[in-house]
Amino acid sequence: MNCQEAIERLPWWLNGSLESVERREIEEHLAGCAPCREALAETRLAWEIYAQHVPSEALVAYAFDERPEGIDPALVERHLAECPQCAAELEMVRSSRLLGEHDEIAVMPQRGAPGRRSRPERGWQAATLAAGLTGLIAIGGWVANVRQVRDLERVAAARTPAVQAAGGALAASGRYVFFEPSTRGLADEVKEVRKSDGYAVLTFNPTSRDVYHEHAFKLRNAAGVDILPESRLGPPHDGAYSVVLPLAALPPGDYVLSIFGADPGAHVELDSHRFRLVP
Amino acid sequence: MQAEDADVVDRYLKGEAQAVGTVDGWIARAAYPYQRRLNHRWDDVLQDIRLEVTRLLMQGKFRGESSFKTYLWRVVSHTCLDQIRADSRVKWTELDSGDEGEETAFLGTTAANEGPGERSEVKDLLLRVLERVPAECRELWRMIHAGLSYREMSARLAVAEGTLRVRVLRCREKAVAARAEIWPRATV
Repeated sequence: MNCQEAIERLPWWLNGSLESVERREIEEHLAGCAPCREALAETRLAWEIYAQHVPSEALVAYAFDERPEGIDPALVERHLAECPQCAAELEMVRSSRLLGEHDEIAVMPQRGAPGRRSRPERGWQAATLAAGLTGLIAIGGWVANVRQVRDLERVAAARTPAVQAAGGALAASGRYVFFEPSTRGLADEVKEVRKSDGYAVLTFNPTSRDVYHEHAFKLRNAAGVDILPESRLGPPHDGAYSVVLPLAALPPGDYVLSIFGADPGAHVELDSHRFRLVP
Repeated sequence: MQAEDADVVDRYLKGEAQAVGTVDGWIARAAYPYQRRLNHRWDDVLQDIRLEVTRLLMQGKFRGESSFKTYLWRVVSHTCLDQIRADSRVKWTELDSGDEGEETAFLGTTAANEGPGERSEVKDLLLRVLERVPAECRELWRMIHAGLSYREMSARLAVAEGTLRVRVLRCREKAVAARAEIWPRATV
């Protein structure tokens, strides 16, 4: 390996993604080449520069409408406009602040880590089972995906294949409204739905599946405030994701439900649906 | 400090069950938006937050400039963000021996030994350096920080591997040049 080949690969040597043969060749080259060790120092410098983010204390201050200490607020704003990581973190802090200021927003325990099912999840599933089968949602602020309600299929009679894909509990309730996947994505149309419709079901068949390995969804209100923070979607069912929204749990108003491609280093809105929930 | 807040803090530090329950409930609610990102070690994170809150209260850091609830919310957010960032940070590879990596880059200044105010100023400068480089460069390096290989990046961006490596090299040079322009006193 010559100097140019080694220098070009240094960022990936640093991030540990090179295959063992290449990694060894670079290390052997670095051991005997002072100019390339200087290039390594510059690569580390670039690594640090590109790894810069708004300090967490400044981000929290900004989210609480205070002036970040020691950092130009305009600089923070410019960085937030360009950096998806900091923007996502800011949204999390704002969501947290919202929960502190609005006690009426209910939260539900989230899913446990794969292979480590937590007690709250079992409680959640039991609650969903009861609520789904009776058609009454007494709990607020949750969204389920196919995997989360799949267990319910054992006890619920399916009425249509699409509803069956979205979870047997819906079929049992007999009350649901579908959002058709928008053909061009990011639909402008506002769909009117009623609380009495029971559940809103959005199915999403990713054409970009080869590009994005992970997908996520988020529910915002008309003011752009996160009602449900961005959450990863579980594995697709027959190639499609379904987001199931219990309408009784939401207050009337305008909402935007969005699906994202959400891989490390890439975060793109792929589809979105606007709906107006009326009593 | 409002009397009600002082009372909750006092009773919390004495370990009174009702106050501990109130604070614990607030912590869980404030931390909820971060749970999905930290799910794999959620119980540990909550415990870290409780310890941090207790440490700060015992040191008298809460002075009543805001309500106790707001203060707590900010401590929780700060702690969770730090945990999320620590989880997503890819540590760079070191050479087996004689590597001077830890001593390079911006640590060549005295920043590591400076106080919080000076550190904020350093961060301010670093962010100014970062915004001097093109968005495409930031995106490329974001992928590198995420641990992607050049083959994965090349496939995702639909460019030849050699072209990609040269682009990243140019981005490295731009970052170093921007740093020298904005911060001439720092050395590599």
